[in-house]
Amino acid sequence: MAPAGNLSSLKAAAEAGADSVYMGFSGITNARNFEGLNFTVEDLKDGIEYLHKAEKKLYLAINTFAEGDNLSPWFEAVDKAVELGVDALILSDLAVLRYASTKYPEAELHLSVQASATTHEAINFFKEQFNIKRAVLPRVHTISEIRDIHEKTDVELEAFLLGGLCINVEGRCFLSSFVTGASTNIEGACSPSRFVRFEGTDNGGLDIRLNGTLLNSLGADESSPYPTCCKGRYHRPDGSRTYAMEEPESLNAVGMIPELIEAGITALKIEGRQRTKSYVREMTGVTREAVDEYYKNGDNFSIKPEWSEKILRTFEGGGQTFGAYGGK
Amino acid sequence: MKLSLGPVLYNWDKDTVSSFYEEAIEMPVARVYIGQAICTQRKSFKAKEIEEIAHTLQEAGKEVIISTPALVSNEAELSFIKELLRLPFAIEANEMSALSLALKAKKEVYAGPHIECYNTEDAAFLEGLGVKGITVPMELNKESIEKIAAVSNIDIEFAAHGHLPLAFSWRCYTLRDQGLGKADCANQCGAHPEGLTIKASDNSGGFRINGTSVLSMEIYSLIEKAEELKQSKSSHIRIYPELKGTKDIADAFSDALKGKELDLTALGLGDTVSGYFDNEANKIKIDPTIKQRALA
Repeated sequence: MAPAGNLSSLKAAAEAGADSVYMGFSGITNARNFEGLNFTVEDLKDGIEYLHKAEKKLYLAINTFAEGDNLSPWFEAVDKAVELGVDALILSDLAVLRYASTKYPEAELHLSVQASATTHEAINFFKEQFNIKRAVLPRVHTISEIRDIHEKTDVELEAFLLGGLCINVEGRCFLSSFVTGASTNIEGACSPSRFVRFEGTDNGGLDIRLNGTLLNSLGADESSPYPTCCKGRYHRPDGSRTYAMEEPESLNAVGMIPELIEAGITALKIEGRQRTKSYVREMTGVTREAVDEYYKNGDNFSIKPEWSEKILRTFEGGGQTFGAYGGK
Repeated sequence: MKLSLGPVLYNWDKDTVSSFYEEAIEMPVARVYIGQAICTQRKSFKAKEIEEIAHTLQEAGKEVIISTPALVSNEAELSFIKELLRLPFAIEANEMSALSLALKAKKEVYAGPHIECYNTEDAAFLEGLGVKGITVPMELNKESIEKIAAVSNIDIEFAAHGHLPLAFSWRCYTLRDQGLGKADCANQCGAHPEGLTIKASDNSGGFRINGTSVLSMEIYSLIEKAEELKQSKSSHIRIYPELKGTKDIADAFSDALKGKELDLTALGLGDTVSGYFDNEANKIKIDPTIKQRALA
């Protein structure tokens, strides 16, 4: 399952072998609300036509939270998506889930990672209430925990495979929100770009600030992914400087594809609707090859060096990690 | 407007916990949440200890509600919730597993601040399930809180004071600080009864890491907003426990709500923030039109 921030990424994903592509409408109804990104109604129409011709699926994320009492943009997004014929809606807000499941009982609903459902009890609750067909797992589980969940639910499970890594459970992380006053959950962007400042330093490095807070001071030879509070470098009480929450690294679980599939994962998801067409093409291509390799060779599955090279090249600086899949 | 005392977020030893709750009896709070919102591996605060203290608080006339963890990702953690559900008290569910289990067990259940209730229809849905009260997420502004309170027939509560719990991870940040993983847990977070502060190099911000959670470094406080609090349609405001001075804070809120003049300097809080309530960043003031432009 590949991400798309625009039509050309969608096509690149399909050409590179994705079975499905996910995206959001432009504006605040989706959790990757970045400037110049996402789909107009016209784009979505074209995207659906393109993917359906190629016998692939299109999933639309409406996964921010409506604040206060104005739910109409979210409800209208659901109406429009159903009218256009998306294959599934990826939702998180209880009220939006209720609206979609009541008004469109035939529509396929997926539970967004933003809904923060981390156990079979939680997933089954959303199934009982809203008849969700699939749940996207927050990146908090080991492989054996995923297996345990799968054994106790008939809801399909989708897991993140590649891309940016939230180290705090998704949907309930207020670090960026606290510092900027702009809620990630409501507005759909963590570390919104209008609050981010890059300042060159005398030693050839870079100071990176979020709404005034210094998240990192990079040396001339250092790089960093897009700056977020969780990947900031802070001073400990003894004065030492450390990535106290998470290194500037991205998720790469391609090496665990066999374990993920055998634990009961239905769909492997690539993060990065905000990334370029070439990122989408490379990551989707590698994932396609790796999944095909697993189904062909099973127990003899091994990572090809060219996959790793491609993946590392597309990460925005920094290393790679298995995240919680590799153990806590 | 009534005061509530949130669950202790830190890993305090038994004696500290006991003396804190002895003092809590004397605090002008109507409701006390007691439980484990952060990590089920914390030894000094298991179901048995929680139950003992809960009984004492109830006998002293407090409304007692047991808080469940904000992040639950495996069977062992689910078992802890089930243990808490067996206690003869109401439950504050801090994620959907606990909410669902509590409803099925026909327990009196409250939706905690870590359940995503952002709007009037989310609140109506939860009320429809039979939830007795909702503590809204701490990032909601005054206007949104009041919209929810205006249409709800159940208790609505919001955070009013403390180092706010902002994020939860599968990773233990305290162990990570020592280069360790969860398998090496020997309750090291107990060595940091106020969390461990990490600061930006130039002191322009920071956080408190606390086991598997991240708290705000700054004290969030609505202590100077008594007039707005008095006019609120919400039923409760929450004060988070700290190692020192929690009773003074509760007394101050109680006094402020009665219209008494406060000596804020004597409280010794220093600079506090209130950005969430005011619909601003929890720090330096920003040009409000920037946010409006983005949301347009």
